Amino acid sequence: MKTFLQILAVAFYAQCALAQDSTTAELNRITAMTVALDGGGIAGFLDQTSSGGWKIPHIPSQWHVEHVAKPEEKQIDVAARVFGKALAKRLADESATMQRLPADDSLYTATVRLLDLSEWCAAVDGYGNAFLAQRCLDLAAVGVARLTANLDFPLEQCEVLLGRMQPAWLSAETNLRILNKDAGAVIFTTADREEMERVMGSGNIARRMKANPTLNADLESRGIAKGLRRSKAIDENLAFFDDTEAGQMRPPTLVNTWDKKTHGALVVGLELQSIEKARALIEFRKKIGAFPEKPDFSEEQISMREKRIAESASQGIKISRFEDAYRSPMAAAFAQAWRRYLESETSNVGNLPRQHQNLDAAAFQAYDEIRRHAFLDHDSAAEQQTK
Amino acid sequence: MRYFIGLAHSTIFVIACLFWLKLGAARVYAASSTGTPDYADSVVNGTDDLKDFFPVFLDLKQLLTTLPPSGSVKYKLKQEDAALNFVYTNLTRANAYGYLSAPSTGFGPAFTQPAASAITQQIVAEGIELSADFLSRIKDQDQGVILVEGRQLTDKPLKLVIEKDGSIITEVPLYVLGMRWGRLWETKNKANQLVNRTPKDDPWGGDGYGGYGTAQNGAPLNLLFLVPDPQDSKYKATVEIGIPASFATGFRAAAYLGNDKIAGSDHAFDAQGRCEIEFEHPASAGDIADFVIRTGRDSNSNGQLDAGETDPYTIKDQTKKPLGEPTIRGTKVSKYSAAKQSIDNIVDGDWTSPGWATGLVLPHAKRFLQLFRDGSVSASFPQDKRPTSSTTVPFDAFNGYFAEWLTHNSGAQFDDVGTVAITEYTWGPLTSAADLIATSPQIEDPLRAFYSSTVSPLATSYFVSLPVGSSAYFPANPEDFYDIPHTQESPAWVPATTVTFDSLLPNIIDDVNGTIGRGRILSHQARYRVEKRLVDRSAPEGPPLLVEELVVTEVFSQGTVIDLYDFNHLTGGAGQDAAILQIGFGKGAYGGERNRGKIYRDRIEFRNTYTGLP
Repeated sequence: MKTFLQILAVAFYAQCALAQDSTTAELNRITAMTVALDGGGIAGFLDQTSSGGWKIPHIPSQWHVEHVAKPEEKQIDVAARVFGKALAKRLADESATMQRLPADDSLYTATVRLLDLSEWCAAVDGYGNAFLAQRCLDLAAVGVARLTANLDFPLEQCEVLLGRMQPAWLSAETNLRILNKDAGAVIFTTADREEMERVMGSGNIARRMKANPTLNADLESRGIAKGLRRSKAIDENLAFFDDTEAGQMRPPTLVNTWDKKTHGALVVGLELQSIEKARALIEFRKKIGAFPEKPDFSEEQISMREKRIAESASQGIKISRFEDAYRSPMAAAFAQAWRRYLESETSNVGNLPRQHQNLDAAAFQAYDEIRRHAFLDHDSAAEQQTK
Repeated sequence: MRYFIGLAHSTIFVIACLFWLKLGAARVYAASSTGTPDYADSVVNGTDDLKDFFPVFLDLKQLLTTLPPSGSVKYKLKQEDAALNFVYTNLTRANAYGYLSAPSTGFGPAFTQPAASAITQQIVAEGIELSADFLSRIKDQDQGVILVEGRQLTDKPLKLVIEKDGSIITEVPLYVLGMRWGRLWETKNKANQLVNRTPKDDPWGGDGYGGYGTAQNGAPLNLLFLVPDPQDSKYKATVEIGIPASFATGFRAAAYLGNDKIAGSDHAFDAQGRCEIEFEHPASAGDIADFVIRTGRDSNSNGQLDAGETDPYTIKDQTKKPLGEPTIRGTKVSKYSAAKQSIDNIVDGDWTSPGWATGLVLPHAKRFLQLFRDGSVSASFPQDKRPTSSTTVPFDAFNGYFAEWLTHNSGAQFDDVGTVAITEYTWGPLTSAADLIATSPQIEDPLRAFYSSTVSPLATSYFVSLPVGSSAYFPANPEDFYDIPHTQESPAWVPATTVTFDSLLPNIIDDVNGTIGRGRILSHQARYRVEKRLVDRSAPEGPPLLVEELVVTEVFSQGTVIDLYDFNHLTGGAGQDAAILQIGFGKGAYGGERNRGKIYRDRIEFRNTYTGLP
């Protein structure tokens, strides 16, 4: 018996020593990555990840570190978060760099790098990983849109880039895994956005009800209590639902929200409007081949139209000129070109999906913002609004 | 009406001059674009207006006996600034306050008019001669009371002057101290103030459009809505009165719950006529309570406003109907927290499935509320509900576009004159919010109606000689649009076109109603494509019957709806909870704890193509 116990003890200490070695090695690796960020920018960093075979660490939330992580995990988690924040800051710098680049091969190269970095970040399911990957994707979307707006830049290359902008990690399944992992419990069971929202909402309401039982009456009277999702995992992890209030994260940039709790963002999904705008612009350019400045009417058409407008006015009927119904002549031109294209493709536009019918609106917005240097990534826009 | 002074003179004795003079509530109306000041229309404006007058007894009986009026002896009232009006009365010294019961006769130049509508006369610098009838009543019937009201602040005395052969033989100055209620505002957000005369187009109030009573107020003009400063849980408001600087520091203001002065609320005015009052929500008061603000002169100089030293002031609406004393409607700290939780629960609740909660489907309404709560598009805002763009727009709470829809001047960082830049969020045609509007009855019904009333007759005429299979656009240029008319629900002075969005009956609290409610249609255009077809109208089991008919094969509809997203405390329920957050946001001066409830403008650009009439 004694010998057996001695063997166990030796094995335990050996394991601890191994664990200690492995922790130290991981810490060294993460530290090296953090240092590398300070060196050659995004390009240099990507080169080092490639040459060093570096895989991104799992980056949990600050909340996870404080509430879920085991003591032996905390050191690595903290180091991973330090690295993540450093990368977030580097990406903020990259945003400014991207805005300065002309819409040519240099911007294309920078955009490709960001897509590479996004994929690298998302290679491990983690709370911080997802936000970093999204940030990269957002910056890349700005690059793609700007390249598309340049008619001299090959559209095919833009399409290739766009093809990389609907990655699997944006799915509800991935977000569900990340959320449960970070919560340290299986809180979400169905990878459906609406259902995940219901669970998140139910947990928040349950948290408030526990803190203030008098709320029950209010919830009952307003019908909110009815149908709340309840589960053991929810009840045992009420603190998980307490996201940081939006007002405490202004502007809500990744750097500013890095140490806050924003799990709700993973619940609703990390899809980006910038990608949708870039997609619309690519589709518009592909079908129309240009970005029209003004509606296309012949002198004869204009003359005839004015006559009809006057005739209608004499009958008490007001007719708006096509271009007057839009915010600007260019918005009208986009709408006209797209409508004419749709009518050339189908006998009844009303049968087309609404998103396709009205694609010109998103395409115009993207193009107009690019012209005004206002097509910005989310964080830059948020910072500008705060100024 | 508490302070009497007696001014002795060698030959005359004048008593009962009220030492403090309230200028009429009408004085405040001077800044309003609606209504005429009470003092300017040469009559007493009703029973309530009588409270703005004070009696002055002219004790001239003895003098009139020795120096009777004649062609050469005249008795005149003079006031250098022409700052006073007066009314003749048949009152005696003993019943000098009888006018407050609004007698039906005995007033005015002929002493035959009711007190509440008697003619007033301005006391001008060159003087107004007292009538022989009035002087005779002093001498023979012991009368001699006139009623005086202020037209403006003055530090020049009212004088009784006796002239003989054009020369002044004696004059008696009567110093009247004018105090005018100026304003009451939230100390950290001056835009939130009484009296806010900006006309409001707010249907809440029980009498339909036009707000409370018959006035256009949105909320009673005598109510100032406040939440306590979270730093010390105190209400903080500033009272301003118009009063000569040399007198101001003798005055005080305090808050009252009913007739009980709230401990610690009593504060002195400074030389500029301002008084910052602070007080806590008393434990005895309800979650939401009214605290009347009263002012008065500390006549016994004991450093507090005693019972009997206050001078109640009544605020009137634009129709001169009294609304009550200036009042802070306060929401105590715990109620603020409960309101915050209530809004959180609505935002966290699931409103996407019919029958899930109350049968309401409010996916967009919930997100618009979230935007108001958070003050920005937060990370947990779903992408498909997000606005497609945003910009800042100038806003003026008192005079600007949409000022008529802002009930409480809070929910933004207003400057002292009520201007601010607020965010306008735009939802473009590809968003689900745009789809919600495009397919609402308020947009689709007019499309049908316009077709029936206007397009159909044109089409019938157009196709009369054309073969089956012909088609045409209306308007004839297929890329132009008809302007679709909508009925303005608001009064004419409100910018067009107000429409209440609502989709499901009888459940009026549906998504489009919760999202927009009353919105403004900036534009709505449409065009129609019509085709002449042979339509099978055969009856079941009947012979074949093919009929030529005009069929609408496409309707293109687009437009813009715009709204100011804010709340009215008086709606109660969730609307009140949201309003409490809005009021708490104030000027943003309450720091992180009051960062919720930010007003914004929403702009929804809708567009839809139908394969027939919707």
